[in-house]
Amino acid sequence: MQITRRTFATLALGAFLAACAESASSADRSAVSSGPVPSDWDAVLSEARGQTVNWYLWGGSESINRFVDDTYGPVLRDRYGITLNRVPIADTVDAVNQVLADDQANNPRGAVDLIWINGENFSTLRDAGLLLDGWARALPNASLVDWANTAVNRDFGVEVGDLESPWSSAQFQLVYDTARTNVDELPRSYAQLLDWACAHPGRFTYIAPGPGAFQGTRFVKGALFEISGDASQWQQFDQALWDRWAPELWEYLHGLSACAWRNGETYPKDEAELHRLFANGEVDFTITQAAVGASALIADGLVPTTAKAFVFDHNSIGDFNYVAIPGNASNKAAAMVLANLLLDPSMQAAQIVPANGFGLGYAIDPAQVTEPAARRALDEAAAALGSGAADPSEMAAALVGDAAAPYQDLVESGWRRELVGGL
Amino acid sequence: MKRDRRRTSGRELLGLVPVLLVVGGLSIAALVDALASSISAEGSDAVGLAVFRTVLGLPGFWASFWFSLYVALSGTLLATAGAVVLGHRWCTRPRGRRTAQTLLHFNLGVPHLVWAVALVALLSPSGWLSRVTSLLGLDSGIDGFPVLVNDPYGIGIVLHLASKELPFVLLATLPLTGVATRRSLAQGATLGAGTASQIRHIYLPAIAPVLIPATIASFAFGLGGYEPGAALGVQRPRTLAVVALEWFRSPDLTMRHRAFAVAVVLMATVALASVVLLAMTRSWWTMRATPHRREGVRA
Repeated sequence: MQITRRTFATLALGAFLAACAESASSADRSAVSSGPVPSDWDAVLSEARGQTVNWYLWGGSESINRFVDDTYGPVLRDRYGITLNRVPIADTVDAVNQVLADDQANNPRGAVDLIWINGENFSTLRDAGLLLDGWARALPNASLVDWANTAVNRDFGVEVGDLESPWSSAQFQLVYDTARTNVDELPRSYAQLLDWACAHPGRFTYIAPGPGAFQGTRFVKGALFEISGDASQWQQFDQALWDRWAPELWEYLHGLSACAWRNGETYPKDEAELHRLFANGEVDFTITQAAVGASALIADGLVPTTAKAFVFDHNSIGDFNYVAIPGNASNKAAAMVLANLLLDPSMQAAQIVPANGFGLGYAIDPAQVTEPAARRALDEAAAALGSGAADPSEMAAALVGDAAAPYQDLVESGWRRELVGGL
Repeated sequence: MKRDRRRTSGRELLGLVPVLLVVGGLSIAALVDALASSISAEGSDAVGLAVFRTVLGLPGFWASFWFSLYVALSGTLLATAGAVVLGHRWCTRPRGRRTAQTLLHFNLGVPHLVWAVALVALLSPSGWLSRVTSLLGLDSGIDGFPVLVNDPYGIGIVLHLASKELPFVLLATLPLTGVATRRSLAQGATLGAGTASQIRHIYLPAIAPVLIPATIASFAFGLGGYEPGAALGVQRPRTLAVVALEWFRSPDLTMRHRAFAVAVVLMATVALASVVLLAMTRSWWTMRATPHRREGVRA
C-alpha cells in the first residue's frame, strides 16, 4: 500500500513537472513581453496593488540604499499597496546577466522587475530585445520630462525610445578641500591640470577606468574631448576619429602619470578608494558626479566638511540615468508605478537634498512643473544644495553629453593597455 | 601499513553522501562548466584551445601569472612555516596557548575582505600605523612611510595571506598534536634532538595528514581568491583572480570564455602544485605509517 502511494506521488510529481516545463517552453515570446498599458493608469494601479517590485540596483553606496528604502518604500506601501524589494548588486551587469539567464532558461516569470541602468548595459539588453517597450513616455509623470533634450533621449548615444524612464542626472566634477587648496589655484582645464599635477608631484590621481569605475572612464573621456577640441563629434561612433585622437590622449595621460600619485604605478580602483586617499590627505582631489557636489560625501563623513566641488570651464560630462523593465518581468505594473513615482516632483526634490544621501540631480525639467506646491519644493531643494556643491551656473556652462557607447570599451581597454601595460 | 588504518564502515560512508553530493556535485559542475566554456571558441560552438592561445598570448598575462603565483606561494609558505613553528612550541611549552588560540579563532572568523580592508586602514601611508609613528616623530608623515599595501611587490597581499592562513593551518593541525605527539617530542628531546630536528623528524610527520591538505587549501585560496588582490593589489600587475572576475562580469559575453580559461589555468596550477607537494612530502607519510623503520625509509 505504502509503495503504491509513493509510486503514485512520484508519478504525479513527474507529470506536474512535465506540465510546467511544457507551459514554460510553449510560452510565446511576444506574449511574454507585453505588459499592462500605462495609458490606462487606473488599471495599472489596481494590477500593481499587492505586487512586490524587485528592483535591481547598484548597492555600493549605503546612503543611496538607505534613501531608496526610506523614501520610496513607505510611499509604495502606503499609497499603492506595493512592497519594495531592493536587490543590491555590485555592478549593474549582474542584473543584465540575471535577465539573460532568465531568458536563456526560457523563464517567463523573470526575477528582475526594474533595473537602474544606463550606457553599455542598456544597449546590451536593448540589442538583445529583452526590454519592455512602449511604456516610459506614457507614464503620467513622463510629461514633466524634457524628452526633446538629446541628453535625455539618448543614452550614451543610443536612442532611448520608449524603453527607459529617467530617474536622475549626474555630472562629472572634481572635489577639492578649501582648507588645503586656494580656489584661485584650481586647474580649470586638462592642460592646466597637467601643470598643476607636475607643480605638486604625487598629489593628483584618478580612478582606473574600467567596469564599476566609470568615473575614471569619464575623466579620461573629458581629456579626449579637450584634446580633440570638440565634444559633440564623439556623440556618434567613428573608429577613424578614435584612431586619429587616441595617441594624443595616451600621450597626455602618460605625462600626467609621471607627476601623479605613486608616479602613476597604480591608481585607485574605485570611487571609495579615491575618497579615502583624498580624506587622508594623500591626494588633493577626488571625483564626484552628484548634483550636490561634495555635500552628500560630507554628510556621510567620507570627506572633510571643508570639501567643495568644482568643474573645469569646459567638457564636464553629464548624463541621465534611467530605470528599465525587462520584457519577462513578473511584476510589470508595480515596476511602472515605481518608475512613475521616481519622477514625482516631491520625490525629485527629496533626491537632491544633501541630508537624504542620494545627491544626484533632477530627471524632470522643473520648468514643466506647474503645480505651485511641487514647484516650491523643487526650488527650495535647489537652493539648499549645501556648501559642498559646485556653482550651478559654472556646471551648466561646462556641461557636455557623454560619448557614444562603443567608446567606453575603447577607452577602458586602451587605457589598461597603454597606461598600465597589463591585463 | 594497514596496522594504522582503521577501516571505514559503510554506515560512515553513507553519512558522507549528503556532504559529497552538495560540495562534490557543485564543485564538479563548476569545474565541468569552466572547462566547457574555456574550450569553446569565442563566438562559435567549435571546440578548441583558441581561447587559451589568445589569453596566454595577451600582453601582461605572464606578468600577472607569475605575480599571482609568487604572492600565493609566499603567503602559503609563511603561513605554513609559522603554523608549524607555533604549533610545535605549543606542544613543548604550552604557556599562553589558551589566549593565543582565542585570538586565532577570532582571526579565523573575520571574512577575508574585512581583514584586507583592515590591513589597508592599518598599513597604508595615511593609515593608523603611519599616524602613530608620525605622532612619535619617527617618520615624515605620508611620504616617509613605506608603501606596504597596494604596492607593486605584493607585500600587502602576502601579509594578508600569511596572517589569514596561519590561524587556519594551525587550528587545523591542532587535533594531531595530542598526547602521542607530545610524548614523542619529549622522547626526542630526551635523546638530544634540538628544535629543528624535533620539528623535522617528529612534529611534521605527525601532523602531515592534515598539514598537507591545509597547505594546499591555503595555496588554492591564495591563487584563486579575489579579495586580497582587489583590496591590497595594484593595477599592474593585477592578480589573475581579479582579472578573471572582471572578465566574467563584462557585459561583453565573449569575455566569459577568457575568464573561464584563466580559471582553468589557476585550477591546473593548484593541481600541479598539489602533486609536487605530495611527492615532496612522501617520506613523511611513509615515516608516519612505519615509525619503527624511520631511518630505513629515509635512506
